[in-house]
Amino acid sequence: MLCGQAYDAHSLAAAAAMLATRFEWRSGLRAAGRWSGAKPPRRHWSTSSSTTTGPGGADAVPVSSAGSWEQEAEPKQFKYPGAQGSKFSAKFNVVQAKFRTPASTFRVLSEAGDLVGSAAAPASPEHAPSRHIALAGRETVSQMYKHMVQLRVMDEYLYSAQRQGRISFYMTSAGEEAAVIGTAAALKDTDPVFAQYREQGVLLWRGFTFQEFCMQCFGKGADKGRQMPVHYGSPELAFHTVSSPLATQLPQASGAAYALRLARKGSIKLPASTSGSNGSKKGRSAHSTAGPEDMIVTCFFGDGAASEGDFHAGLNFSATLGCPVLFVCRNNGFAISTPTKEQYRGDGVVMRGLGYGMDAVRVDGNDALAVEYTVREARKHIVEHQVPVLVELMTYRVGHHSTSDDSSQYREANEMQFYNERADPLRRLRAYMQRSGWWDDEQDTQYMQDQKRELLTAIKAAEKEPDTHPMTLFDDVYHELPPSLVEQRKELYNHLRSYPHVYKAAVHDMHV
Amino acid sequence: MTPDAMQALGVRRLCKLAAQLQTPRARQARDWSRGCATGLQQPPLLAVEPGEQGTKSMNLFQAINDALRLSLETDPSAIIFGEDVAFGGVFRCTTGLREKFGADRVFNTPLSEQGICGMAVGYASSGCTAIAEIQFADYIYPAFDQLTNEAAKFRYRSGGQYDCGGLVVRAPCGAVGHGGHYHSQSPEAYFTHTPGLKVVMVRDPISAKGLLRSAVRCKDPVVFFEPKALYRTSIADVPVRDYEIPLGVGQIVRSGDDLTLVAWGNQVNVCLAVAEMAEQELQASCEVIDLMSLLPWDRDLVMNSVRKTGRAIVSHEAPRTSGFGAEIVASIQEHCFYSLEAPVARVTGWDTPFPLVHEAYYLPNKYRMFDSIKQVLGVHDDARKFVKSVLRDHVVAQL
Repeated sequence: MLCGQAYDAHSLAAAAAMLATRFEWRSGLRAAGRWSGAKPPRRHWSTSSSTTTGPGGADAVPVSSAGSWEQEAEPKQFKYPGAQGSKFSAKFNVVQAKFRTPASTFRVLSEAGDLVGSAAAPASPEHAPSRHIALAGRETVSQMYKHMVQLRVMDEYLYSAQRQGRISFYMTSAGEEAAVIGTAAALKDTDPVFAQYREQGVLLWRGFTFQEFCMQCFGKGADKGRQMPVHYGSPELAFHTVSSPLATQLPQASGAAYALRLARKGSIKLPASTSGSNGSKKGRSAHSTAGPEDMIVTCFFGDGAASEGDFHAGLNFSATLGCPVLFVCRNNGFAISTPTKEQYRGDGVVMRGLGYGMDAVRVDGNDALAVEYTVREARKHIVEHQVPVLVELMTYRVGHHSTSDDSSQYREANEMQFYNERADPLRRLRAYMQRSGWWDDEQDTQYMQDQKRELLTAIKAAEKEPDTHPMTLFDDVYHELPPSLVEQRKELYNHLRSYPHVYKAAVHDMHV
Repeated sequence: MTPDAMQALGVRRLCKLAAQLQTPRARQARDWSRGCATGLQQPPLLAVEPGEQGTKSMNLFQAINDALRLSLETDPSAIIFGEDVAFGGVFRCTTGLREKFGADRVFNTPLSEQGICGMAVGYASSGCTAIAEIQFADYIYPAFDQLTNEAAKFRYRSGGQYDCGGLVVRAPCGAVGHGGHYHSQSPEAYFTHTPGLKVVMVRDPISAKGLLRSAVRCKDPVVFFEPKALYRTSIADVPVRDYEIPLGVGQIVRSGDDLTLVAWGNQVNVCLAVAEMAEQELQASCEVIDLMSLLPWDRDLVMNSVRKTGRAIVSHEAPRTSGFGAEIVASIQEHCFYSLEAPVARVTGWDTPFPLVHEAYYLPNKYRMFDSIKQVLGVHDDARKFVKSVLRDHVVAQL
């Protein structure tokens, strides 16, 4: 889809298509390394050239400080404050959704793992480097693949641990590994992340250990057993603690990003704890230092969460306040059992960016290379322009919503099978690596076995750890324990002493 | 007058008291039964010293503005935002702040309460200070999830790894004379049911400035209610200096012996008015307590007072059922049961939405409170006056 071609006299298709167009511009036609050297298309949504001052336009009395009417060359020009760029038209112009062409989905790898499009074409001298998409190199790709394998292994084993009754709950990332790991790989490890709940891949990428994951799932983690499994958090890795309510993280991400914006401008000074103190525990040196001038906030959510009011608030706030935040939608086709066709009528989530005046890109979320590239470019754009960007990662949730869900109740087994076979992100990236001569079957088997062994060790170790002490249940409600909680704590203590046989924990080591 | 005759007048308590007053032993027994040692020291009235800089006459919105200015001055990470705050706010609380501190730190947001509070949580979670304004407490409900599920649990759910302690949400609340049900509500009870939040409601400019400074510095998220009726009508000589009134601490704003009145916000002013009325017309001495902080609240202050007086009325503008008064009354019966001389009463708004043209019939005004005082004291006006004068004579005779 090229510019102009999509602009259709009828509808908003032109503007809607702008998103996809603009992205292809920048990657294909203009500018290597820049999001958009391109000016926005001159054409307006209506192609009618006739303008009028509208009913009563010339004689209209301007109201308050409503608009820039005074600055017009012809001061009588009338404009409504809510749409200063709009021209009056005698043509009845219905904003029709149904004629709009859906935004394209950017990918560089085919399902078989071959490079496609301009990514496949060798850089030619006359177009170089603009025709060529600078994909991640061997080291990054290998790291991405390894972490995707780790993620799948971890999911498999912790899922089984739940089935065996060893942990209470679990949620897998099956089918969405590339979406999450690809994003994490393109971010700086110090970029604050507000996750939804299926983004354990980011933590994995940043160096959260199997042991730490297992400890949280067994109720013995840093959250002191307060949250259900998979509700991870790590200030050290700039990963805000997951909360179950959906989409609440979006306006919060805007707030955290606004803090970065002000710090970059020098209006405020951020405390050191805002970003991960060390970035990655793995000490990837390129990512280890970052100040607010070079940081963005990343916020994950799903196609279901995008229906929440907080989605709207988060995007609108970040757009109007110029927050350097990357909104990443994992559109995996389901909100528990509700399919996307019952979730929205429009063209997915990507188009909504337009409504907020925000650039947006739709990407094949199972193509790790495309995801990494898109997020890397988006990140650059956000840092440079201090604006939000929306990325929609198209993917498919292969697993159940959670261990409390049985997706066979609402989808055909063969549908799942189809996506598993056709779109598996691991197989795709592995094929690409093997074709590039970076990886082979033997390595693959060996790596997977190593990971499984490590994970089993971590599970066993976590199981052996002592339970979190029940008296800690009063901690962290407030910065300091108020008198009412001191009293209630004592009440529990006395009760435990009277009924020791009822409870698991021993009271002898409790201090009140 | 014989005791029988006094009883016939419905003044059983005074009879009992008169009987007890006759011997020192009886007096001691009475003190003991009220759970406080003889000679218990009364908590001093909380007075704010003006200091060298002296005081300045301010109304409530000016005092709030002063506290906000000090917050921006002393905390370089502090920002103020909400609907229409840039031009000074619809109640003028942010007047002049944008000019002084710049558009980055004092700014309008799009019209979305959940967005305002969500953004505030995220900003505060970065270690910074977010002072958010909800234009009317009636419109805080879209932000309920952000406040009760997010802000309140931010520290707890992370095991203390993250917090949003630098968060204050200010909201004008309460009756204003013409607000109807969407510009008059007092939603404090919804928030007092949420561990992790602190909840404050102010009664006058002096307490407001000190409490807001504490709320801004507090390391927990605070929901801060300002009775809008007081913005212009409540005027006081407010100390110019930066001072704090601690959260979680109540204040005895009028000392008394016969009855304890507990309230917060503008209802404290109603209590002060009725206490005066009771003094004049019933010779009853009411102790008035302003809780100021509702979560956590100063239980000891209230209990000590009720042990002393043996009677209590709790009053709030919000509806009665599940109002915060219920919590206080329950605590009083739990901790002061053996000191009570009468059932603890509640004088509150009715269990209806806040009305418009019938506001006067809804509000727990001083006449409804006065009526309640008479019931709690168990005395008819004239009988009360009479018995009290008899008693006074009697005590004087004993001495």
